[in-house]
Amino acid sequence: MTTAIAKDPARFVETVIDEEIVVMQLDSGDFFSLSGSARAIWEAIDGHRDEAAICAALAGEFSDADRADLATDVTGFVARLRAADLLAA
Amino acid sequence: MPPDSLDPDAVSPDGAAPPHGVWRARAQVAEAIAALVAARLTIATIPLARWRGALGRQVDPASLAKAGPLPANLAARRLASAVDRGAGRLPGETRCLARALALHAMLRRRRIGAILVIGVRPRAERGSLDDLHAWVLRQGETLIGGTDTRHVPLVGFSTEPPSAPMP
Repeated sequence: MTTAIAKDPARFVETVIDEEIVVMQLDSGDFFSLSGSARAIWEAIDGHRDEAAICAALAGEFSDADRADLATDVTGFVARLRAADLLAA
Repeated sequence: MPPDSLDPDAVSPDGAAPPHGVWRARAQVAEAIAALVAARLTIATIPLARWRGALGRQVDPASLAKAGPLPANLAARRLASAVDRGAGRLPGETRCLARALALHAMLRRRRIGAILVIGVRPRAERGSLDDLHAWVLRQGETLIGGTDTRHVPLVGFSTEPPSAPMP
């Protein structure tokens, strides 16, 4: 069974600065700078897609990337977002 | 003892030092030192999650650009000056967030509306301790934490209730 991944907007603020998105975790005060594939994954997390759907969404944007590598990147990045308490439970 | 020449209230136009202004200025610096010590301890020892709520209502940084023309903010400026002078009398460095927190608390105590803003430098300009910055705004005027470098506002905390306009 797949699970949709959703951000928890009560836990962070974000702003777009040039080519990056800066996210501040409001509980810890930690800042995250997201650019390139990290930004793409962050933007693809819409509360409806699961990891596979996020990979599929990114495949078009990163057509040179190997699909397996992309899946690994998404899994790793989502785990980091979860560890940072930026995703809904 | 000579008047504190940095305080606009401490010296009258003819150079005489009005006692009331001098004592008020000193009291504000003493209050600022206490607020700065509290702010430094808070930042160093308590997770942001525990004191974020005390900063006031979270506001959208995009709304900060809509400030109107600058009114007379003399009382708020005096407090900001007291915080900077108080910071200079404390050992060690008092960084921007502690100064902003101290001023924000002093303004809130007097029911003077203000917004504490936390911002970040664009990536191309990063590489120093000042990449993250905090400052306090009142009606578009930066009371404390003004810099020559560009910081993009990320989040603001206002002491004003949602529906009330800034006094």
